[in-house]
Amino acid sequence: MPIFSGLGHIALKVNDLDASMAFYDAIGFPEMLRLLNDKGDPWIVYHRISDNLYLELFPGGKDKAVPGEKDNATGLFHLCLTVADADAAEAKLSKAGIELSRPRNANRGIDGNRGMWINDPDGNRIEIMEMAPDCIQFKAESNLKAGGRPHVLSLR
Amino acid sequence: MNLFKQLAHVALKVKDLDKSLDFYVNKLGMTEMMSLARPDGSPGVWLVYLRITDDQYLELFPGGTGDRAPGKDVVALNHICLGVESLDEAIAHLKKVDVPLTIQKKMAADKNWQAWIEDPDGNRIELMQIMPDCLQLAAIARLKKAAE
Repeated sequence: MPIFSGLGHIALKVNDLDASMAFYDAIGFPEMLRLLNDKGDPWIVYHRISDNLYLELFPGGKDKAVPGEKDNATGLFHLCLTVADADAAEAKLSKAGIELSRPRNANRGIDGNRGMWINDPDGNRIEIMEMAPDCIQFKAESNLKAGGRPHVLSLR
Repeated sequence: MNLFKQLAHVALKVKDLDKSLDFYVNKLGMTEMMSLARPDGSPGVWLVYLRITDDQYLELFPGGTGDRAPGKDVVALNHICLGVESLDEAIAHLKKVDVPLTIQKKMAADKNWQAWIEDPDGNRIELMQIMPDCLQLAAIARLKKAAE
């Protein structure tokens, strides 16, 4: 029996709560709840990703930003959000004033999917992915369901 | 704006891939889906995909620098939460596989049951049994009502 039903939430410690709230609201995750501390200040602000998955923002983070990708720091490397249509997502992000963090490669990635990258105000890297029906992740899953061993791939 | 469908994966940079796989696969029971060799052809694993659900994965990238994941007060991932159907059953399982709780089971301010563990890099993991009268479900219901 699986122990876990799924991810429940992701919690980020943020440097500037207003900036983070504005960013996550702009990409379509509205504030749903906030808990106050004993001084009446925000302790946790919850944004809705889906009905059973939330983003928790904790204000008061030390430092200005998270380490860069090339630092290879142990810890969160990136988050990934899926979209139905990468082109429509790019247009919506542009309309919301969210810039891509690296130029978009219009080709399919090494895993068969299309996507792009943005950064949140603290520099957390967010991958945006339109997953193809025949992508390597879905193939690996159906293989597991059929009782197969994990796939080991070299995609060079 | 309905831009995103789902949080599809969380990717962690890990110091010791074997230890992380032992923790997430052998102890927590996630299934290894796939691993990829480095795209530049250098030896070693680039990343391993673990299945949380059919559309949520945990990606482990070896080669993490530093001693541990950031502490809980710095700008960084603060924690990950995994939902459980029964916290008591999850705790019994964790005991059996020798994963200690870093914070014991408690009823939290949000009216859910929670307990905490840490992965081998010190990433904090909350285990949460969502209760029907919790603050989050009430908030979701309010959002839906407002959208009607």
